[in-house]
Amino acid sequence: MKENRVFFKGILGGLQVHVDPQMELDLLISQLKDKLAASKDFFSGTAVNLVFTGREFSDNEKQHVIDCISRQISLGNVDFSISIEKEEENMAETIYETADKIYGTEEGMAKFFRGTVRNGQRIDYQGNIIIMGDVNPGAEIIAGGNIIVLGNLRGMAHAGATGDMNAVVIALCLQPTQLRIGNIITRSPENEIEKPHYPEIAYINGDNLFIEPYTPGKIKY
Amino acid sequence: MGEVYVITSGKGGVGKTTTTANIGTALAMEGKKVVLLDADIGLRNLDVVLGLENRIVYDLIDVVEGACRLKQALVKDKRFDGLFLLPAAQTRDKNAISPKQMQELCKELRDQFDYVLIDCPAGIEQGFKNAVAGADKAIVVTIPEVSAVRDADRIIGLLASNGLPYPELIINRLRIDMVKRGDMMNIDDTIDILGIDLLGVVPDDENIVVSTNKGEPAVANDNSLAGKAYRNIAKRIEGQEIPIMDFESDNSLIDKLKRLFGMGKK
Repeated sequence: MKENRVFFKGILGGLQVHVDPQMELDLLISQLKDKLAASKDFFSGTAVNLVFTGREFSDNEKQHVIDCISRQISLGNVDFSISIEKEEENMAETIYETADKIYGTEEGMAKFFRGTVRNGQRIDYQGNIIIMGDVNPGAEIIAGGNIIVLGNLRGMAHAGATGDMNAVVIALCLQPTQLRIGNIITRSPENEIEKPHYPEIAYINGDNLFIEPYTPGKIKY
Repeated sequence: MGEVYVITSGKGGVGKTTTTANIGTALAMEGKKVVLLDADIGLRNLDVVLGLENRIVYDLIDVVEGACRLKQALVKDKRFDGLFLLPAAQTRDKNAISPKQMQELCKELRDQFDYVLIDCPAGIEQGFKNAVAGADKAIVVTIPEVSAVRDADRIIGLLASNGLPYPELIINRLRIDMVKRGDMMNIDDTIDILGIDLLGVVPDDENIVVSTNKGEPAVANDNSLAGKAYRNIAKRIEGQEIPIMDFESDNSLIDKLKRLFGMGKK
């Protein structure tokens, strides 16, 4: 069982390294090296954020670990802060991070709806929503993640409904009665503007919601 | 085996009853056997529009409650042979009949008539549910106003969840002069939002008010533009290919309408 005492686990934006509390530092480092060497290709070219959990590290030990692995891979942030006492909290965080994976805006589950969403109808989903049709005035689209409407969006859309400000709304013709992302609520301008004839994207930057023509490849949101 | 159509709109006052009376009359003029069923229990109007109010003895509720036979309740039209009315009860309310009873009634009528047209009450409550329960097809009537189109959209959604996913649209009371000036929603705008097939467009016509008050459907009047539009709709229901708004009686109007419907140029 010796070789299974260091566990790697993908978390949002990095890797969690869980180590056996009884393990000696030298053994830990050698196992870590082996593991990293095995997946060297996977790590190459990117900075890897590591979070060590499972045991306390003294400052000397921390420095030693960082020295050893930084020769193998390019390191991002390394965090030793999560101690054994925090195990439970860590678990909750892991669950939260797992939920992020399932319903996130970068990666996650998506609901596809085919057809027109009409006045009085509501599509509600924790993940991302793709509507293959129109969303008419009086209809509501509520997503935990992004909303993409392959048609006219004339109703209300709320992306990032659980508070995710990274969520975006894209529609082939974006003219919603109201648009919400995260906790920001906006409405269309009162004076009637020309109906757009190109796809548009709505996103949050700072405290403001921006709407821009959607131009593939020039992504800055 | 006849076909059962429900004529509905969501919003009140857009012309469901007038449409039902006129399409029914037009179908009867074509020699079909037609029954018009007024499902607006408690607020019946169809009998008035047809001028048959004083001939009612029994009504829809009497039939479902077994107080009379179906044949006794059917009121035969005074002008057209194949046209009958099954009137609503005026002293009862929408809860006096259930969707299941309505289905059975429609089944019985379908066997005896070529077309059964149900005049649906406004709203989305019990009366609507009753009216759509026995229908095979739905016709949604709207006028080119934002609020009416909203309600039509809602109704189309509800029809789909009641097993009628492909209703057809009648745009009623179109003011051609106003559309031309850009003061009214045009046909393209309306269809763009509702996204269903267009069955017909009925222009706004003063004759309708006159004929409704007199109890004589406008289709019987050769000079009425709206009557002509309803006759065309009836022909389309029978499967004939009639282009939308082909008014031979008025040449200047044809040109306007061709611009309207032709290549979608406003």
